[in-house]
This record gives sequence, C-alpha cells and structure tokens, in this order.
Amino acid sequence: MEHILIPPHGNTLVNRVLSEAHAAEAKTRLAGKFSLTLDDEQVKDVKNIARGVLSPLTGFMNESDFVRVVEEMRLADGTIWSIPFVLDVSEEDASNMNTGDEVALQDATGNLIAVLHVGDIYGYDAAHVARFVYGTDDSAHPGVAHWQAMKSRLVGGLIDLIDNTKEPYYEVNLDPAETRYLFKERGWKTVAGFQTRNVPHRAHEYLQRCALELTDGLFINPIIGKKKTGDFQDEVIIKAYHFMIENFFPRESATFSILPARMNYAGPREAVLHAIIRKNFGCTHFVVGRDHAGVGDYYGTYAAQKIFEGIEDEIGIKILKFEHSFMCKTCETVATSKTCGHGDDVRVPPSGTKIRDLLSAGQPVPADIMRPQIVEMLLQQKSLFVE
Amino acid sequence: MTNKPVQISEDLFIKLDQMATQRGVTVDQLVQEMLGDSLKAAGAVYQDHDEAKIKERLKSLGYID
Repeated sequence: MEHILIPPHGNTLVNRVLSEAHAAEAKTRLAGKFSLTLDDEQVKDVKNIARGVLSPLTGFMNESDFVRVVEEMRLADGTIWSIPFVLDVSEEDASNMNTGDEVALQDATGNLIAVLHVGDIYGYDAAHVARFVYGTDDSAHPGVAHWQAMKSRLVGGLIDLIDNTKEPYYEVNLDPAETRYLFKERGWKTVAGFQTRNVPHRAHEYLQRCALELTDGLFINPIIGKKKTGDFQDEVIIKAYHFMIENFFPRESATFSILPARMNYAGPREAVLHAIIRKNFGCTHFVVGRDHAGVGDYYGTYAAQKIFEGIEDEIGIKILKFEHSFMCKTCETVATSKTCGHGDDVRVPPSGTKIRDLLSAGQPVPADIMRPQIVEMLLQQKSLFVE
Repeated sequence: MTNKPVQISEDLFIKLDQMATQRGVTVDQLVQEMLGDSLKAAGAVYQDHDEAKIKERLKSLGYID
C-alpha cells in the first residue's frame, strides 16, 4: 500500500528556495540595489517561510492576511493561522520601496539572504495586535514588548531564498521535505511531534514515551534561537537530545531535528502555530502540555489546550493533551495528576530553577528528576547556560 | 512515474479536448506540451525536492542507513 503522509497545512509544501542558477542571477541583479538588514530572528523567519516550515505562507504577510490573522486567527483565505509573520521597517525605508519592487534582504553581516517582492506597505497598532495575539498589552510580556519596540511600518511580499545555509547546526537541521521523506522511509504512518526548549528530563521523557505508545514514531523538535540569560545553550540541548535518542529510545521509532525559530511566548496562539509547523514536518499528532509556550501568569493553565476545541479537525493534526508530569515517590514512577492519586508532598516536579542551580554549582541533579547519564553528560560540558 | 488515471472537471476536459482537436493532438499530448512550456518558462526557479538528494543527505547525516 502506498505510504500517504499527512498533507501540509494549506495542502501544498511551500518551496521558495531558489535554484543555484537563479540564486546567482538574483545576487547579480540585486547588487548595489536598495536592501534591508534583518536581525537573526527575521533571518530565521525568512528561511522557515522559504523551506515550507510555515506553509502555506510564501512570504511576509500582506495587510489582508495580517488583519485577519490578528483578529480572527485566520489567513485572508480562511485558513487557520495564529501568529502574524511580518517584516517591520522604518518610515524612511518604507519611503524607499514601492509595491512590485524587488528588495534585497541581508543579515547583520551584510550577507545576502533573500529577495523580497514588495507587496503591501502598511501601518499597525501594536496595542491592538498585542491584545488579540497575546491577550494582554502589558509591556512586561516579552511578546508585547517586542511589538512595542518594532519599527512603525510593515512590508509584506513573497520571499525567494538565496542563502540556504543551515549553519551552525547543519547536521540536525532538517527541512519538512526531509523529515517527510524520513518518516516515509521509516514506515511511520503516525508521528507525534514534541516541542521543547529544554534538555531532556524525566517528566518530558514520560510525555514523549506516552506519545510514542500511541503513534509509530516520535519526532522531538527543539526550538533553537534567541535565549534569555540562564537558558540552556543551544548546543547543550542538541547534545543532550542526541544522547537521549542514541541511548534510550529505539532508533527505529524516535528521531530529532532542530527548529531554528523565534519564541513569541504567545501561549495558546503559539501552541496552534507549533502544531501547524509540526504538521508541515509530517507529524499527525502533537503534544500540548499545560501552559504551552506561556510566560508568567498571562494564560490560564489549560488555555493552550482549550484553544484547539472546535479547530483541531480543521487544522488536521491530533492534539495529545497532557497534565504536568512529575516523579511520585510513592508510585515510584513518573506520573500526572490523572494517573497518580498522591499529594504534592510526595510529588517531585521537574523544577527548571532547581535543575539550573544544581548544574551551575557542578552538582548532580537527583535521579528522579533527570537521568544520571544525562546529568553526567551535562556536567562534562564547558558551559551550559547563556550568560 | 506512473500512468494512474486522474480526475479533472468535465468543463476543463471539454476545453482541453477542443484545444487538442484544433491542434490535431491527443489531450495527453497537449497537456505534456503545455507542461513542458510552463517548466521551460519557469526555468526551474526553485530547488526541487529531489528524493535521491534527500536520501543522500539523510544517509550522510546518519538519519537513515
């Protein structure tokens, strides 16, 4: 029987990576022309759009998509989409562009990344966006603060990617076309996607194993990118998951690849985006725990799970909803409040602060929080955290 | 490559059949011709998702044997 993979969001896997000949031609064509300099997170957006990670997006959003995404969580054509992908520019830069122009997009070092075919140039109200997308206009929220700091105009338009390099983690950075081939090659008809920003600990491992009990394959997909002080460094997360996959999961049913992308901390809206992205990678299932992609106390405990009510079928990926997991000293196993009847006094939650404090002091993390082999591997690293 | 039958709308088929008749070719030949022109015009603008290349990369990275 033919192996049918889940269709990408919008049914077409976007590919706007220019062929070598066209990339070379575009470089010549754009030399000396007006250009915009992108920050690292915008470069990630551009590459993700071109590689189909954000299918069906083919570029930065024009105004009709932007307005409907913000207010109704849908693209202009009605397709569900939860987070605006926009390129902000100054008034001066906006005045140098017209709809239909080709603009060079370069990174902070001046390297040419992509061509932007200028579409709409438009304004926006950051507070309005914040209230809809983040559910708050509190500038203490990092997503809101980001919008408040953005330049005053937005420019939409199609992207053509020139620089398709995948450094610095080329070896674990797969495109959706590649993960889809991989899943097919392994014969996985159902695949659970797992989003993380952390090194593997027992509580996450429990959710991963539960998900794998329900599916043919597990795809662990850590987000790599801009970090806060005290976060684990990207290479540490990659090494730890590589170790985990090699030593604790069956090779034939688990794999991992990174997702270089920005975190918006948009809670429920971001959970929807994360599910859509994993659908594009070929996942049929996606794990959503409590307070997925949240920050502070801005979202209700179950908001990131509730948001899928009524839209899960339309998105087309099955959401695996989990409670917080912890080690129960009485059950002597990892469990959730759904599977363990004991009180908080015997439950050991995977405290990020505790893990960080112990590792920073060169101390081992208790085995009921993190596997000793992972701890040992982590303690051998020169540097674990972003300073 | 397969030769599986595909479904298209009756209206589209009638139009294609009329065009093919005018040119003295079959509908299959007409579609091939149009596809060829369209690919030529596009000039393979984007890198293709060539399965052989994908397989090679996944193998070199150790994802598959």
